[in-house]
Amino acid sequence: MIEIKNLRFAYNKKANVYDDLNLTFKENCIYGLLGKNGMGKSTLLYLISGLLSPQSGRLLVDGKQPNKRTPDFLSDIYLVPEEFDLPKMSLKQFTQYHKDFYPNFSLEQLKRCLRDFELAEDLDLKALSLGDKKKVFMSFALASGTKILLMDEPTNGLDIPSKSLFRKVIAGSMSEDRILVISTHQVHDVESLLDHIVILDHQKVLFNASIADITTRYDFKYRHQSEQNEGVLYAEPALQGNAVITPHHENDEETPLNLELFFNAITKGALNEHV
Amino acid sequence: MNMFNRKRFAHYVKWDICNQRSKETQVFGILLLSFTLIMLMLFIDTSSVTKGMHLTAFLMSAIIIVFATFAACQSPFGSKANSTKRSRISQLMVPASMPEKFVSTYVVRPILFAAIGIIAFCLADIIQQLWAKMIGIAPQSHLPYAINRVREIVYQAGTVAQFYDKARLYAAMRGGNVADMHVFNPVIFIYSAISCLSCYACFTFFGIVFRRFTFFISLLSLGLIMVSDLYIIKHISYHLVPLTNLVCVVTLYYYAYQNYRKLQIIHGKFMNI
Repeated sequence: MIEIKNLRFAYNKKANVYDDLNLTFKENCIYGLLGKNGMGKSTLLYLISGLLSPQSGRLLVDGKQPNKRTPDFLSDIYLVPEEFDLPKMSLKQFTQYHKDFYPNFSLEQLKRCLRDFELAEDLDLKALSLGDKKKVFMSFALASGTKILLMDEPTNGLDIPSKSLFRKVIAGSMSEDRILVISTHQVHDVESLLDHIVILDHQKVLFNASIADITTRYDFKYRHQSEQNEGVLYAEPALQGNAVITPHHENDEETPLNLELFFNAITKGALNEHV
Repeated sequence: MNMFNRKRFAHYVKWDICNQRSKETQVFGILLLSFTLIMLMLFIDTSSVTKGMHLTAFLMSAIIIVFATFAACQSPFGSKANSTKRSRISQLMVPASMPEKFVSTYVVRPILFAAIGIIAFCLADIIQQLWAKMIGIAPQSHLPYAINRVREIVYQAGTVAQFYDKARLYAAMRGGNVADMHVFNPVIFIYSAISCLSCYACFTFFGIVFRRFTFFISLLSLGLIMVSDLYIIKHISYHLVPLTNLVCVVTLYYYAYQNYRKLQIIHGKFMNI
């Protein structure tokens, strides 16, 4: 479990990134970390992985302080940054040099992920495109068997077919004791994967709820422009007319979440009275 | 919690070396080319090969000194290639303890670079001997001259007082006739080692603390240390110099580690504090 209590963090004295941030991440859950640019999504991932130290407050990952960077903490966490360097070597060598650092590393899992991403096992890392490098890095991260997996903009650089492969790989790699936090702007790429959403905005958590919770409270529909907007909590023009959010009624069938619409509604304060 | 596990440390060193492979190859290539070119320059005037050997050895010593100081600065935060946020993330996220990472980066890596320099020198020596054979000159190895140059530095004086007599040092460096130079004195050897270490400590500390102009800031600081050493030799006592250098080494390495331990990946900063 990741526990964040009264956390304060600032890059400089002028402005806090977080002030009194409180959050909990639990096992067997895929979290979507959303927010506008500069709201501290990546910063939160870096704080969890111990690459940054909070000014005050408490941040514990399975009872351990991340900024101590102890080997047993680091062997149970894997961060997939938005941009990363892969050494100029073959995948086989890369695996050989890295796998011993992770006690739960599974070669079978790595092969399965590579297969799902439609990649060969005998790759030369320096000859790969950005997208393929990302797929290899994510496959390695998933195969490392770490309890905590943090991904920063994982679908950036992936082509359209690879994005659906990404969802398939992630869905097939989750285990009961794992926590996966995905920070992204590409909400369409991950909305079907997420179990829980955290929206960050101006030093605090603006919204924090499970997808099940959201879909039992709201309906996401498209309405023709001529239709009346009765009971509509938030609407946005779309190709099919208007994309709208309405309150969910008990007898109605649940509708699939439109995460982009919901995110816009939340950040514009349209659902303030209902959240 | 075991903060220094030998097996894990060995594994981290292996990881570190393999990760930097392209850089190591690059350094090896540059050194091999420089050494070979300098050695081949001798053949321009074939009438004075032995005289030229002294010149080559002097040039080699100069290259090795510049290279050694630069190698000491090849820390993850001291060189351009390693000062990126990406490389810092990949290094800090490896499951090894901070002391293991520190020793690997700031102790093992400079030794590795020195070893690369020696290998490049030996290979260049073989190339020049082959070249000499090809053009019909009796091949002569540079190695004895280079080894003698190192010996002259370590065995340069019979007493500590002579060691701090700069005129004798310069004579030894020029390969002049200094009869009493080749006497091994362990005290002088230790003093020399402490002086070298203070140079490395200086580069290590400033390499961690500063992100830009690291090499020049370190050189400047090293200059200040040397000036203060000269002041102590002239106005107080030369016996104090190794002591102050030792204090300098311990302090700089201690604070270098303390700074390294707390490093964060905040970008756009001039200093890592």
